[in-house]
Amino acid sequence: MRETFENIDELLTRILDDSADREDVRVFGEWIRLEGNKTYFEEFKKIWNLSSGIQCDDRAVEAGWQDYKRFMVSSRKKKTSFLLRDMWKYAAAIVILAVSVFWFLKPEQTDEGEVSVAEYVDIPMKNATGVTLFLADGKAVEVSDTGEKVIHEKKGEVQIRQEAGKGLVYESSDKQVVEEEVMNEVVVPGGERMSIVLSDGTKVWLNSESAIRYPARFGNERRVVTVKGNVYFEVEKDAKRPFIVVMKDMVTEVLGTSFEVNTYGDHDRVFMTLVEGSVRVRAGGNSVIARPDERITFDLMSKKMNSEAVDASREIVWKDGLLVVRNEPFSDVMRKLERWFGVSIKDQSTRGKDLLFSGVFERGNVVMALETVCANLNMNYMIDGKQVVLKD
Amino acid sequence: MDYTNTGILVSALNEGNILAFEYVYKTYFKDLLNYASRILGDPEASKDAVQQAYYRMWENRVTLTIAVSPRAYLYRSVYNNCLNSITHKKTIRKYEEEQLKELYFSTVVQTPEAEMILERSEMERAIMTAVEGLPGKCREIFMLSKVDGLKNREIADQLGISLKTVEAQMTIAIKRLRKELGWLLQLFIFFG
Repeated sequence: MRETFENIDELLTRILDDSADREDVRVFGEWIRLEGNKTYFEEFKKIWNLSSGIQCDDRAVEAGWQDYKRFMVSSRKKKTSFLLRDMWKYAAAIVILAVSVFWFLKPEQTDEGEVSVAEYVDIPMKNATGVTLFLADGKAVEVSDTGEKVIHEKKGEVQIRQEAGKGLVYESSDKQVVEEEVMNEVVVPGGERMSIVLSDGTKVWLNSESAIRYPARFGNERRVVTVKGNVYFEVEKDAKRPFIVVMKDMVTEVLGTSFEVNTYGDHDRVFMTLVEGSVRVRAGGNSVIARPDERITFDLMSKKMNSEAVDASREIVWKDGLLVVRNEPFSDVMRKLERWFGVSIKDQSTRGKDLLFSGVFERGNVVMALETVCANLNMNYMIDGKQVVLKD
Repeated sequence: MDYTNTGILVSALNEGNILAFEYVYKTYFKDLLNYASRILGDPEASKDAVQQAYYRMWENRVTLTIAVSPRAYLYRSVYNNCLNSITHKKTIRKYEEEQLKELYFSTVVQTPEAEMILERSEMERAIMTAVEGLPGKCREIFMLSKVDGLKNREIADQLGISLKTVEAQMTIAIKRLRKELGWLLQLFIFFG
């Protein structure tokens, strides 16, 4: 025997008490659509909420507080609690020079050591769900920077070790002469990061949504790699073999140095940021030599190169597992979070559009990041697997 | 330090001032726990939802702004934590099966905005007085439910009566309280 609308108060009691069954829920759904019933329910609910819920005594509050205090004090000591404030103490430069210097660059004359620009051949992401290494014969191997294993690159006759904390490490190849370079590819999807030590000792860090193609063993004349996305290099010095990074719209040539490149194309710009050493950057028919703490940007729309001074060490903290956002508009932050955590964010809210946002996000989990953002902007989020929806 | 001034409080929180965090913890904890327990029902899960909200507030202390008061921040945070818990609860399945998930989240679950308007401490006395005026069995059942937090089924078992009786008595109680405290509701409708 099922309730009719005459016993609605008892039904509402069950709804609020969470002891309603499926039939109750269905009837409730029908009833509340009728005129005036929503208000009736709201009133009922108010009394319910005012008169119920756990009461808690002062001892429990004090115990909770002691727990909380311990948590706060111990987190201060942990290095991983790396807040934006704290960074000021560690960075050499105290002030960011965000001065953009625009100039038009004249095409460089050909000089000795001019290297013909290698053609960019795209590296397909191949719908990889985890970090994947593609060997010369096309075989795909799932890799990571936790756990150890050994991979044999048969064609290139080289051993690749996967080491915890280091990523992929290629054995160095001073002895044999390399006749023909054998190419490997590593693809890093959204939400992941990876590091590689190439056969010459060059260290590479790849951010989310990035990929690299490189020889398992470098040849004798020059070292050429192709990348896309956001990649940071610490290049082993080798005056006899210039190191060349080929991107879709830009080529960076180095002798021995640390720098990062970014080809995400956000706001139609790709750029290279130099930490140390010296590099030559070619793009759009122009070329420029960059200095440390300089960022060279190539605008894909206007095809112009610009240079600005930055604090390069702050730009590359992603390689240590931190995503830093500095006075950026909401949509930019969302895009960065999507990439960093490998999720897709649908924004159905009306808030936060004209605010600038700053924060530091760790590698950890996306829930924490969404919490920060939503609590600060008075928004709600719903998460289901890799889909996130933001609402008011 | 006058932490009742939001500007001063937020600055102190930004700087990680432990006294400010103590103020925020001790001032809002009970109400937040009470709120979470009404959404989740489970005392452990409720305590967890509240504690996590405070942990996150500490971790994100640099990003707190005066635009959102610490109180609103915490209510919102607890609400979000509860929602994440709920998706694992059996309750939500029933609503999903009836295609009423939206209704559940928009109308049945207490939103932080609605919760913050309930000025609990002032009203509690009025309510307890009205509750004392309930007839014997009815009052006993109501107190077991509201004060001890028992589910209707548990009350039925404990008192050796039928579940139907419990539900009927709870309904009578709520109806009578609505009548007695109607003036309270008028206030809410005006502000809500």
